[in-house]
Amino acid sequence: MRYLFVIISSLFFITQANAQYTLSGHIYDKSDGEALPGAALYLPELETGTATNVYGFYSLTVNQTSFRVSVSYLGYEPIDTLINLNENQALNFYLEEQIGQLGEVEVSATRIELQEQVNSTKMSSVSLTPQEITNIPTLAGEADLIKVAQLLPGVTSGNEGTTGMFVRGGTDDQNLVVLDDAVVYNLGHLFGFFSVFNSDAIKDVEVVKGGFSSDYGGRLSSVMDVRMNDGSINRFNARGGIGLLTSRLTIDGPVIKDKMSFMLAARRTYIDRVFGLFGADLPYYFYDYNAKLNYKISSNDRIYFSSYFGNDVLAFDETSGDDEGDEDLNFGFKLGNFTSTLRWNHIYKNQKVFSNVTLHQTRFKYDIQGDFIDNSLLIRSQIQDVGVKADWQYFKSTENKFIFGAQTVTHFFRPNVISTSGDISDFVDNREGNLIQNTEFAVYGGNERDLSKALKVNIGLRYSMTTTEGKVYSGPEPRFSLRYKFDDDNSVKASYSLMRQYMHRVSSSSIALPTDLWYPVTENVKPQRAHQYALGYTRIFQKNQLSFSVETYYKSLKRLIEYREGASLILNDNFERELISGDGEAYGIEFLLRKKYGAFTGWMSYSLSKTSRTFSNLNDGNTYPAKFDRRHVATLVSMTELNDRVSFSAVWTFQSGAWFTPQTGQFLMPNASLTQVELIPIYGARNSTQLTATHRLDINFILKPRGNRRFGGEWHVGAYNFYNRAAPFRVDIQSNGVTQEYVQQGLFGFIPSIAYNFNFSSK
Amino acid sequence: MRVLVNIRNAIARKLRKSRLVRFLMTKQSLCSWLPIKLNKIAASTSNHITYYFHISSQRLLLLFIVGLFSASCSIESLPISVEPAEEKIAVASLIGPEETFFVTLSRSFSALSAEDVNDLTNDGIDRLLLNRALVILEYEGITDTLENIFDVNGLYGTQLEAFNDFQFLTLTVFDSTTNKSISAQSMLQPQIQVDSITVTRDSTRFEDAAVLTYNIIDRPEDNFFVVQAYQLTDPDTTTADSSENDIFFNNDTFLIYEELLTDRGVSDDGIIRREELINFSSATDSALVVVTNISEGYYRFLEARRRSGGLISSLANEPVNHPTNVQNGVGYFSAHRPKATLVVVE
Repeated sequence: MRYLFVIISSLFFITQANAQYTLSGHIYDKSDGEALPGAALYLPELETGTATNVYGFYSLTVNQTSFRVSVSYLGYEPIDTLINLNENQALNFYLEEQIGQLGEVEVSATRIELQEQVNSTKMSSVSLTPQEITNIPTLAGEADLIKVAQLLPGVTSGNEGTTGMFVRGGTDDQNLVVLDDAVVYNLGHLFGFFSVFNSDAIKDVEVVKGGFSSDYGGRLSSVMDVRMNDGSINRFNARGGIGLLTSRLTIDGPVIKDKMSFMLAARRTYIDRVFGLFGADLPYYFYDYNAKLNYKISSNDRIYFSSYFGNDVLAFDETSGDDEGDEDLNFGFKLGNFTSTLRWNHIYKNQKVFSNVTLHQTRFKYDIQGDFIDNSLLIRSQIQDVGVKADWQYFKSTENKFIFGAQTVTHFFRPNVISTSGDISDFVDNREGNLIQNTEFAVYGGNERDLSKALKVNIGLRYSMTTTEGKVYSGPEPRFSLRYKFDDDNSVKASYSLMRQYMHRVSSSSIALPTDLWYPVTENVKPQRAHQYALGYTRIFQKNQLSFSVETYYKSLKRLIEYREGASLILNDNFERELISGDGEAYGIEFLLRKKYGAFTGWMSYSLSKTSRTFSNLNDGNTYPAKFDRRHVATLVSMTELNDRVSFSAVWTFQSGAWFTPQTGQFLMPNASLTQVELIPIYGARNSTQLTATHRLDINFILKPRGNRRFGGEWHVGAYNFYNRAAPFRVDIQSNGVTQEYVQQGLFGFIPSIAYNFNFSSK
Repeated sequence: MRVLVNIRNAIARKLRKSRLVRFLMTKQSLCSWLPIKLNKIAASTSNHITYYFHISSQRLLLLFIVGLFSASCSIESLPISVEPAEEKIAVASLIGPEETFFVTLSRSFSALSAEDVNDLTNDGIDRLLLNRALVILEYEGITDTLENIFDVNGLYGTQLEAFNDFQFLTLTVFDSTTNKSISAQSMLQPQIQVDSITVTRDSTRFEDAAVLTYNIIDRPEDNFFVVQAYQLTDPDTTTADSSENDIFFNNDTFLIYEELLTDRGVSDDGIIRREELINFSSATDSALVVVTNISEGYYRFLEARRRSGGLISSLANEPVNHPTNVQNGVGYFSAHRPKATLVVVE
């Protein structure tokens, strides 16, 4: 704690106090009043600028009283205006959505945004827009945020089609995924094949792989910060889509014009109904809802309430015809997330300090239940968090910004509650499940400042701790990033971060299942931690509106959690006996060439990486490759507007194969009494076999029929795995009629898709 | 157990008629014809599709939807080369009646071997057993060569001349057919004493329910046990003169219960007490209960065997490699002495 205090205090004292007046406010979409996060403000005469925070707020403190300011945001007409200041002034900007191709003014606006990539100390992070999420082709044509994130360099996917993300050698449970500041524990619907995020409800997404800011913590490998739409404050909108698997509808509008707005989004599958048409019943479906309210209390205060609720439901109900119901069979499960967040934004009187206080709760629960012949079984697991977070951003000047804050969250774990009745209770004991409670607490602070025109640093410190079963774990988490600018188009960046993780997901399976359990650190299971060092070079090509970055990183992972070979976690409430601890290492280099502006957009990326694990109790203590250690990953994403009514997008990906432990032999073994003989398999070294590399092309045509100003629609016609290439995910032994052979199984072949999206605005 | 069997059978009957199976069968039938037509879709224009199927636009849409689930059926798997495991000698052992030391020897084989081996047919097993091995056991300064006994392939034995608990036995094997040799060492585990064993029918639970109760007298050191219960499949072979070991080795037993135990948390009186519900459907009134004190290493081997079994484990879990104490070989060389008790079922 004292380290943090000293550093923050020092930062304040060494700061020069030469600022004069402050210009501050929000930047909004003119048509619906949505705040625009990440919008750029540039002061050309002063060669300085800033960007709005995630709530669309900016604050500029400058020495001059008169200056020009350019305000820009991707896809919007920029504003260029003269400002005269003789006192602190609050000024909101309203940007109009851009129609048609970029003009000269817009090109200069994109230059400002591009230069922000050179100027910022931020590295290893990528923002994604809803438009990219919607237009990039994915499995079954369902717009999917996670699948798009998997296309970024440094992010590798797990098994084909699933929402698993493995960031720079991390595991799937080392990603902090937050929706409006509430942690989302289960990211997948339909056993992980579709993400829980409804693209229509999303305003923006940022994926951070390294160089973490001090306000992020709790996971080792990445942060995916997802923000929901606020809802229009001055008009009603409706948008939605009808796809192969799901339909969705989102409406938003003012509750009190210019004061209060709402957003409601709903989505449901109709797999069950589709199969019903063919006489085959599949009683499975999923649904989710997003809701948000925001209220402007005053020009300096605003509150938001947002919530997500979603479930996957399987319900077989076989009722026999006999009166006694002797053979009635009911089986099913229900699992899902529920999050809610209440936030209060406040701008202090000096217009330099912005605060946000968040109360949040999240719950992930699954129930598996079955009833048969007077027997019933219910298995339930649940994790629930309740927390509060308070952040302050102090915009001392355009060259000097501070963040500081604190957060606490209490986790309530109740894994493996078992309730039985009937004869089956003789074999399966009822269990209340141990309620495990632990509390995490963190304070943090950071300062980003220009030390010279060329050199900018961002230093921060987070001090985190957790209490569990009378044990306290704590430690500092220093963060540091640096940018050295050669000129307006070139800079190098470096970063270091230490992250600690106080909970992990328990799964004995090689595949991520929604029924995997989250479990806290305990007296015996220590927190995981990771050191990450990164060095990068950023260059922009203003003429072509391109940005290029290359980053190399080294990541050391300590106290990773694995499971003993053969650990069985089903109906097992003594996980700790099955958990073992080890280390990991990852390093690599990532290239990204991206074009965000114009009729042709997309990116090209390549990453070369290596990830390994060392556990004294696994693989005879020898280091082995991580399962999803994919040496080479290349991605090409393109979105092209062919004309006003037709667009085409395509994704081509190449990935080295994942690693697998094959069965290589077997032997006969009698039991302890020599009364029976069994075949015992012999496996190779852990992850000793690499599956064949996979590559895949997905395409999507977007056809826009003529609409009008208030109603628009578009057809999405696409194909997944266009040339029908298997993406191996496991090795099986199959007979070819004469001998047996090893074969690699793929999951999805060519899959066509079609969807219709629409939007409607009241005026 | 019986109730589980009843439940399983009833579920199977139910599922045969269930919507789930009907759904799967529908998918199967779709898969049989859709891939061909979907390939045509991939190579055709939408007009061509409409012409080909002569179906309405609604049907076409439904076909797309079904295609989503069915097209994956047509994907071809890819070949892969995997380095096969080196062939090794596999060892299992125990000390049986009359202080006879038994060792079984076989050779490991490829995961790609012929199906009859994988299905454990007698011919397949016979091909794997080693009948011409030189098997030498050293203990207490004695060197003994084990002979192939009982005309059983791969089974070697010798009567121990003298032995003491906790002494080490060393096994050396050379097999001329495979030109392989192995060695292993094991400490002789003392035979465990059983305080009491009862098996009592309890039809109030379910039709063939029985309660197996056993109390094991623990020893001072850390101990590991395997407890097995058998029902006798051929009651005619059981006579009043039959000894436990006669029955134990006559192969007319059917394993109905097996549990691995440690003496962690044993009560102050040093007795390990267990009461287990078992399914005892035998027509005989006798059950055979075998309690064996084993080494920790062999316990870990048996635990790995148990953990790697089962459908869920084999499909979803990471593979489990079994520990071994056999140098250059596989399996486990264990010097344990099962204690068999014939119990009259009440």
